[in-house]
Amino acid sequence: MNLEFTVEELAFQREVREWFTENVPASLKARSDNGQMPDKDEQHGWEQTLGKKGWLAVGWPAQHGGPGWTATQRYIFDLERARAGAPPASPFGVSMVGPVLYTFGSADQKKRHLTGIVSGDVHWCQGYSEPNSGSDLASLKTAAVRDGDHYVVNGQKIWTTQAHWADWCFCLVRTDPVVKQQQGISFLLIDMSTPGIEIRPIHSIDGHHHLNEVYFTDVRVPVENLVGSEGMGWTIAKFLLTHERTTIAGVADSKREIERLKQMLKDTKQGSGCRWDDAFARRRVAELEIDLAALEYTNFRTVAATEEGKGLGAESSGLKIKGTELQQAITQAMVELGGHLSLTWDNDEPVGNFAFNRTRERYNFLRAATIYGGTNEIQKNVIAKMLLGL
Amino acid sequence: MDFRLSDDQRLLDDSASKYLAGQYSFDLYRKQLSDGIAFDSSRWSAMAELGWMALPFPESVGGFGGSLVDIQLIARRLGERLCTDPWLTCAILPGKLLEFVGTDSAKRLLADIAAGTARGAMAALETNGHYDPGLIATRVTESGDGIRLHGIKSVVFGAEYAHVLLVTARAQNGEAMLVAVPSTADGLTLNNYRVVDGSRASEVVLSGVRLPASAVLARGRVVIDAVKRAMDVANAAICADLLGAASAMLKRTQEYARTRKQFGVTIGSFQVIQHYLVDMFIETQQSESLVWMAGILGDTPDCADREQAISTAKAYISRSAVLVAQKSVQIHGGIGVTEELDIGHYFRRVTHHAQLFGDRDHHVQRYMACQQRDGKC
Repeated sequence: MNLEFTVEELAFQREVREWFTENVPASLKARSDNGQMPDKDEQHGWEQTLGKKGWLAVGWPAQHGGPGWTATQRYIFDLERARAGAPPASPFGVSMVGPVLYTFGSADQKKRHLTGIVSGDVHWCQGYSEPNSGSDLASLKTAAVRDGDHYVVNGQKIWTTQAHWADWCFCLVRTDPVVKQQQGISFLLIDMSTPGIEIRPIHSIDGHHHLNEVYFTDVRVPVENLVGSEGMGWTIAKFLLTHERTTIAGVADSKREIERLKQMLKDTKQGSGCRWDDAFARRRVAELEIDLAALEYTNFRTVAATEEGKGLGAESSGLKIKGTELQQAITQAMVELGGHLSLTWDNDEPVGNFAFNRTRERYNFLRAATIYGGTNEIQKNVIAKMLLGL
Repeated sequence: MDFRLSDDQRLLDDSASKYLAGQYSFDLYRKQLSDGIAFDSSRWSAMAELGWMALPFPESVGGFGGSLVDIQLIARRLGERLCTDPWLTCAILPGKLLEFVGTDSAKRLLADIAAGTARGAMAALETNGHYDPGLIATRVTESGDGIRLHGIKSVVFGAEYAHVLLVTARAQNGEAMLVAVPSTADGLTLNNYRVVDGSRASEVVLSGVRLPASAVLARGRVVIDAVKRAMDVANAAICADLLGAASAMLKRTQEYARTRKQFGVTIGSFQVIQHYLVDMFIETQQSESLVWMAGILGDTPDCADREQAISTAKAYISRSAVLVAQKSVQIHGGIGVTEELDIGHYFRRVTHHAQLFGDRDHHVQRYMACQQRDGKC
C-alpha cells in the first residue's frame, strides 16, 4: 500500500494549480468565496475557458477529445479546481450525454455533437423525470411516435436543471407503450429550439431558478437523433448510473467548503476574540473533517480500483449517499455557526461577515442533493440488491 | 401532574386557531413575501382586539396577567400557519423587556404596547456578539442636556414596523443602558432586509443620535439580565412556534405519503418512509412535552431554573424540528424544494427559528454553564 502521489502526479498537481491560479476569473472566485453559484454567463464562459485548454471533458479518452488522464490525474484536477474556487462543469454534456454518445452513438452523432461538448460551446440538459415518474423512472410517459423520418414527441418533463440555458436535451421517451416498461424506452436527442417546446421555470427554496418544467407538444425530432436502437433507453440510462465517476462523492468541493467555513469562523469576531475560539464550533468542524477523511479515503480506493481497470458498480451509490450527506452537514454547520448573521436573506450590504449572510443559499439548494440523481433511499435499495444480495 | 389547558386557555387557543385560519393563508404569506412586507395594520388591530398584545403583561399596565404558556399557545398557531406578523418581535419581546427592567418610564411605554397603540423592537444583539447580549460595542455618552448614541445594532427583528427601538448601549465606564429611541430620531438609519423565514429585520445604525436623558429607561446589571430574560420568553414562544411548524409539516407529509404513488403503490407503503414518519411523529411528541415544560418551569424570575428549562427545550426542539423539516422535504422529493409548495417555506421557518436567539450549540453550552454554577446564578 502507498497513500502518496507519485513524483509525476505531484508535478501534474503543480501544473494544474498554477493554471487555475492564472485563469479562474476573479468574479467567479468571489462568488465561490461567498458560497454563491455562478450565473449563466460566468458558468458558460468558464466552461469555454476550460474547453480551449482541453480540460473540460476531463474524463474522456483522448480519441474523443479528452486529455486521456488517469483516474488519479482527474481526481487531482478536481481537487485543484475546487481549491481555486471554480465551479464544477455542468455534468449534462461532459459527464452524461458525451460518454453516452461515444459509447452508443452513431458516427454521425459523434461527429455532430462531441466537438461542441468538448469546447464548452453547446449546452445540454437532461429530460428524465416526469411529474408521476420520479423514483419510479421506468414508468415515464412522454411519448415519441414514429411519423416518416421523424418522431413526434408529446409529454412533460420536470426538475429539468438548466433547461433554460440549454441548446439540446437528451430525453428518455416511450417509443413502445405495449412491451414491458423498461423495454419501451428510447434515448432521444432533442434540439431545444424545435417548435412545440415550452419551458416553465420552477423557483427553488434557495431563492433561485435552476429547475424547470419542459412541455413537449407535437415536437418533431428527426429519427437520426435516436441513440442506439429503439428500446435501448433504459440500458443507456443504467450505463450512466454506474458509469465510472471519480467525482460523484463531491470530495473536492466538500474539502474546499470546510476550509472556507474555518476561514469564516476565524474572520468573524466574537467579543475580543473570534468565532473560531468557540470549542463547540471547532468540534463541529472537526467532526466534518473526520467524516470527510472517511469519504476521501474511500474515494481514493475507488480511484485506485479504477486505475486497475475495475469499473465502479453499485459502490458509486455508497459514495453518492455519504457524499451528499456530508454536503448537507457542512452547509447546515455553516448556517448554524453563523448565528443571526446566517438569518439574513436579501441584504446587499454585509451584516457582519457576508459569507455567513449567504450560507442559507447552499443549505437550501443542497437539500436536493439527497433527492436528485436517484434519491438516497433508492441508492440504498441498489446497494441492498446489488452488493448485499438482499 | 396535569398537562390540561384551562378553560380560558382552550378559548384562547381556539380563537387563535380560528382567527388565523380566517385571516391568514399561504397565498397571503406568498403575496407578502413577493411584496417585501411582513406586517398588516388591520391584522395588527384585530390581534390587539383579540387581546394578544395585552395578554402576558401585568394588569397594572393594562395587561391580562397571562402566563408563558398563554404566549406559547398563540405562538404555536402562528408557526402552524407560517404567519410572519411581528407579534412576538414587536409586542411580546419588547414588552417583556420593558416589564423586566420595571422602571416607571419603561412601564409607561409598556402600557402603550399592551394597548396595541405602539410597537417596539429589541435592539440588543450586534454582529460581533454572536448570541451574547452582554457583548455591546454601541456607545452612549452623557452630557448636561442629554445623551448621544453611536453604534450599530444587528439583525433587529421587526425594526421597520416599530415606533420605538429599545437599544442597549454601554457608557464609557462600561455600565449598560437601555435607551428608548423613537423611530423618527435624527441620526437613526434602518437598513431593512428580509430574513430566512420571510419576516423582516434591520441593521440599526445610530450615528450620534441625540436624545434627552429621560430616554434612558434603565441602567446597570438589570439591563442585560432583563434582555436575557426577555430572550428566554421569546425562546419559549419560538419552541412552541417550531412545534406548530413541525406538526404542520408532519401532517402534510403524512398526507403526501398516503397519496403519492410510485411503482404502482403509495410511497407510504415503503418501510423506509414509514420509519421516517414514525421518527418525525415521536420527535414531535417529545418536542411538545418540552414546550410545556419550558412554559411552566421557564416562567420564573429565578434565572438558574429558568435558563436550564428554556435551554433544555430549545436545544432539544431546535434539533428535533430541523430533523422533521429535513425529512419532510426528503419525503416530498423535488416538489419539497420548490417555492410553490408550503413545505419548503416551513423548512425555511424552522431553519430560522431553530437558531433565532440561540441554536442547539448555544443552548447546550448554556445548559452546561447552569450545571457548573450548581443551580446558582
